[in-house]
Amino acid sequence: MSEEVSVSDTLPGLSRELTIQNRLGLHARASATLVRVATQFKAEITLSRDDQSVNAKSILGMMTLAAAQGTRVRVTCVGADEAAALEAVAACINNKFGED
Amino acid sequence: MNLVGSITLKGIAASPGIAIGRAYLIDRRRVAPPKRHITPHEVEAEVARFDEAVRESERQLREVKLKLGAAGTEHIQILEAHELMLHDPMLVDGARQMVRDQLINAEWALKKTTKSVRELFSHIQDEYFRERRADVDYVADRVLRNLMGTSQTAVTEIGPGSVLIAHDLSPSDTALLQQTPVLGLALDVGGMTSHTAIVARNHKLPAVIGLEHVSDVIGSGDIVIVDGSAGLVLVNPALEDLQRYQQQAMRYSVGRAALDAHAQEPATTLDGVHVRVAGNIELHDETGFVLDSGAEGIGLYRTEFLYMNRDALPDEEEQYRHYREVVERCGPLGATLRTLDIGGDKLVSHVKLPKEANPAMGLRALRLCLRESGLFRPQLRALLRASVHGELRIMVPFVSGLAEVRAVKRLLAECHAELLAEGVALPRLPALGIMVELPSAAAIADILAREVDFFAIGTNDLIQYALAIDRANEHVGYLYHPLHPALLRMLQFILRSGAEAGIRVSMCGEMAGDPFYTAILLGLGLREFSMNAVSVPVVKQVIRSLDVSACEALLAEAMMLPDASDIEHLVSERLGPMLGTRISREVFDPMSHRP
Repeated sequence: MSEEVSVSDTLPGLSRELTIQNRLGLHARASATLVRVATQFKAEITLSRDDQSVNAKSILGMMTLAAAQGTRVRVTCVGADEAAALEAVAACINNKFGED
Repeated sequence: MNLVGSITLKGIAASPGIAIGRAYLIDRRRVAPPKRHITPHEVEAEVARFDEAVRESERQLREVKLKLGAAGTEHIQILEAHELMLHDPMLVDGARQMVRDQLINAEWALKKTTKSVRELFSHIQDEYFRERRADVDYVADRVLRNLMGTSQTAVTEIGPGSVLIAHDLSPSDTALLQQTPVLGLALDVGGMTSHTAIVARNHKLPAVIGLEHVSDVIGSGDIVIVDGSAGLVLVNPALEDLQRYQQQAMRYSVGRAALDAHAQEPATTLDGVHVRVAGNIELHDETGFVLDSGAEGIGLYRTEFLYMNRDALPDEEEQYRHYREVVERCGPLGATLRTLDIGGDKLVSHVKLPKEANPAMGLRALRLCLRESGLFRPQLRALLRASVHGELRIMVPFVSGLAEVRAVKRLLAECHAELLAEGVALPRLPALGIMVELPSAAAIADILAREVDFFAIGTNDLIQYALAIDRANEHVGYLYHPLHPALLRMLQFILRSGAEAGIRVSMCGEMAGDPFYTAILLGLGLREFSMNAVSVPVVKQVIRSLDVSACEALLAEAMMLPDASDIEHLVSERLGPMLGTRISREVFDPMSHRP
């Protein structure tokens, strides 16, 4: 869907832009699902929207993004297992958190 | 605080009956944490104490989850989100860090961290996400109480003989309510359609809600009377009040039990006329309770409640599932589903509409649906699909003339053709009826009766629009008279028009569920009533106690009288002798809103 890019030549990590597709957006249940995926990895995982960035391992952080259906978010993973983490988080978002 | 003197509070009567017991206060709000500075060598012990409180909180949440069992996946999901919050870096790591950096005790650090997390939420535009700060509070409060060694007041710990007092109940409290021996409940917040009110009614727990300050003025152990029929809460009542209520409660429960024992029996008058008494529901999961109360099917399913208090409109699939469940449960008794009856003002988050100066006469209900076909079509499609599974009748509200009926028929035919083209098997179109609730519709009832399959008289709106009275307006409320001669003439014309066209006519407003009006309505020729579940056994018993010919004589006399107050007086006078001793006053009176 989106091209995978290195955050920059100097900064480590991988990042990808994704769209929240499930009907209710990143509400409590969807956030909980995503946190469970994110906490399986060592990498630091960040979700960004406009100028706001939150820790994907924080359910509260994710809910403060208030990302409704259709919101574009950028996922950034930094750490030893960053590639696997990015795949897992992207799959979770693209599968609509198992909802709908 | 405990009050010495007695006090009476007025709220919303959410679930009828009387509960007398000791107050059990669930105080989730006011935990004042001790604040103190600590020395650097106390830090590790303080962090350890904090971690222990978090672990304890986790254990408690798991326990609540276990107790809930299969009581509701929705509640379990909320609890699971709360469990994750107990590990949340923003909240938990934030509080630990604050203990270290600012050298303050754990309670203080948690309070400060919670406050900053709440701030983040309060800036969010979207109401759903903004209100998640309540979840932050629930979680932080639990940890705080564990830190302070204050016992968690879980609903399950309540002993028998208690009346539950709270500002609000959390979803887990409400779910657990079903398994506790509480006698009744009184809350600061809530409306008639809140989840707590519905659960209370379904479990026959007397409840008064919307009391605003009840959790401030009542302390645990106070003696409390909850009068869920009148919407009153008496705190530390005087001895004579207590004795009066004890007798009343006993007579009520005896009378009520006698009625409930006969709830499933048909409502047939002394002279052998069968009357159909159906139930009103707002949410699909009320169906079972309403049928258990003796309702013969659902006479009014107010579908708009599925659209309220949520982030997005329910789609066709979700509606179909709800509607299907209701019609399947009703079986041959059938269910009448009313399409969206909602004002533009209530849908602002989903449908952008201009502000109106007079929404009561504005773009609402059917008018809104006919304009916003994106709103209406999914509902009609869901209704058509659900109609395959049982006796489903479609009813449209707020009809003012023939053109609207024809527009609905066209749309319905289009949706039907669409579904057939998609391969959905729809052997027949369900019955289509209208609410007769506007004076214009009442005046042309003979014309409309030839166009539809049934009428349902909506008395709440019909009275309000015919008399130009807003009942909630204290200045003109005294003019609200269901027995106004103008209304009786309208009702008579509607019922006659229905009979001449050979269509069914029911009534589903409050008047239908009020036993004071049953005799007059039978006299008018009404043979189908629909009402809230608690009224069903009462009205059924009143019907069984009456003689149609006597009701017709009463009506004939009433129609000769020139003024509403004369008619009310006549009915008050005659009703007692007509009913005899076949229904107890203790049950009849709280249900009757006689003028």
